Amino acid sequence: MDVTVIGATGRIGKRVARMLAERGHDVRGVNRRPDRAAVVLAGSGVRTCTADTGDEASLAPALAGADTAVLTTAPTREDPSAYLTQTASVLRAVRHAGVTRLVAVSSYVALRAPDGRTVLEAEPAHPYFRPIEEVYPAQAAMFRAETGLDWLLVAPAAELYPYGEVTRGYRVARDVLVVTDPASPNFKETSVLSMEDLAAFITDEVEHPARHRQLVTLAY
Amino acid sequence: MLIAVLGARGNLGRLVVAQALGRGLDVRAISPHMDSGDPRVTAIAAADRDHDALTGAFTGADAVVVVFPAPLGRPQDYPGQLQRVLDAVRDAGAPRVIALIGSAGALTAHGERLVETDYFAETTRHFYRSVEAAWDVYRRATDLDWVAFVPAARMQLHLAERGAYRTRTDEHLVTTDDTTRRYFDVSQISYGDCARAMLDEIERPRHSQVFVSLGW
Repeated sequence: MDVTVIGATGRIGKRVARMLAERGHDVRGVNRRPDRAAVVLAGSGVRTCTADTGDEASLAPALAGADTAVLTTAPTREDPSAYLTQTASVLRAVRHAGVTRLVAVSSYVALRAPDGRTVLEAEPAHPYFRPIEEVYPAQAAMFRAETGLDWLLVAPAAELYPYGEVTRGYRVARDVLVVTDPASPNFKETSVLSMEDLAAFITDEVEHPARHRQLVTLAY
Repeated sequence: MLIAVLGARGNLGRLVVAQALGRGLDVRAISPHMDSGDPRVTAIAAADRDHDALTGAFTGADAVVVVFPAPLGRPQDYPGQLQRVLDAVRDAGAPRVIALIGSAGALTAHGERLVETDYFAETTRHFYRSVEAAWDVYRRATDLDWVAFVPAARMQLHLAERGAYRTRTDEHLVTTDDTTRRYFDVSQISYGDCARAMLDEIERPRHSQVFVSLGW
C-alpha cells in the first residue's frame, strides 16, 4: 500500500511510519523540519516529505497517490487552537488528493469517563493544560461532520508509555475510556497502553480497515 | 533546629512541615498565601521574587528547604526564580539548602536525560526543559552548601509512605530494574518518603553540592 504519515517524527508517528515500512508498504513521512526527519527516520525506509499542516498546498505532493493517510500531529502549548485550523487543512488536502481513508490520533480527553460524564467533566484539566485538552473534543466534532471520508479517530489510553512491546493484548471500545478499575478515583491511571501497541493498532487499521467513521479507544 | 520551608503549602511542602514538627524541629513555613493555624509554625507570605522578604525569612534558619514548584504558566521563569532564592539564601547566611528538583534532567540507564525520552510529548517538553535548566542553577552555586533531591520518575500523592528509600548520586534515576525503559513503572517514590529523605539529610548531613536521586 501507499501510505502517508503526517507528523512522522513524533512519538506516535515515527512508530507507525517505521512499522508500516517494516511490513513492506510504501511510506511517506511528513513533518515540518527536514533535519529532524533525517535523524528520526534514518534507515527506516520511510521517504521523508517536508510540509506544514497549516498549508494545504504543501501537503498535496505528500498525499498524491496515497491509499491511506495517518495523522499523528498534536496541538502545541503556544497556540493550541491552531491545531483545529491545521486539522481542517489536512482534511481538505486529503479529500482533494483523492485519499479515501484517514486514520487520526485523538486523545482520551475526547472520551467519556466510566461514569458516563466526559473525561473533562469527571476530571477537569489543570488550567495550564486546558487549552490543549479542549482541542480534542472539537477535533472529534470536526471528523463527525466529515461526510466524504472514511475516517477513524483513535484515542490512546490515558497512560500512554513508550518502549513497550507489541502484544495486541488491548481492548478496543467506542467513545468510553477503557480502564481496569472504573470505580477508582484514579481511574485514569488504570487506563494503560504502550505506544508500540498503539502503533500496531493503527497499522492494522491501515492494512485491514475494520472500523469506519467512529472514535475508538484502546487500553489493556 | 529551625528550618525554613519555601513552598510550604504544596503537596510536598506540607508533608515536610508536618514531618519536621513531628521530629521536634522548629519550622518557618513560607508560601505566597501562607495561613497556618499551628502555633509552632511561623508563616511568612513571601513572594518568590521579593528578595528582602525572602532574605528575612531565611535569616536565622539552620537549613532552607526549597520545594516550590516550577510555574506551569511560565516555566521559563523557573531558573531565574530559583537563582533569586539562592541569592537570598546567600545574603541571609543560611548554612544549608535542601531542595527538590524535577527529574526531567536525570539520566536514564541509556545515558540520555529523561526529558529527551519519548515519555515527554513535544507539547509538554517545553515545561520540563525549564526544569532541566534549573539544574544548572544549582551546578553554578559552588559557594553554597546545597543538596538537590531528584525524585523518581513517578512521584504520586496516592502512593503510600513506606518509610524507606534508596539514593544515587550519579544523576541517574533510582529504579528497581535498570534494564527496562519503562521508568514510570520502575522508578517510583511517595511524597511522604521524599519528605522523609529530605529531613534525614537535614538532621544527619551526608551530602553536599550534589544531586541525590530518590526511589524505592
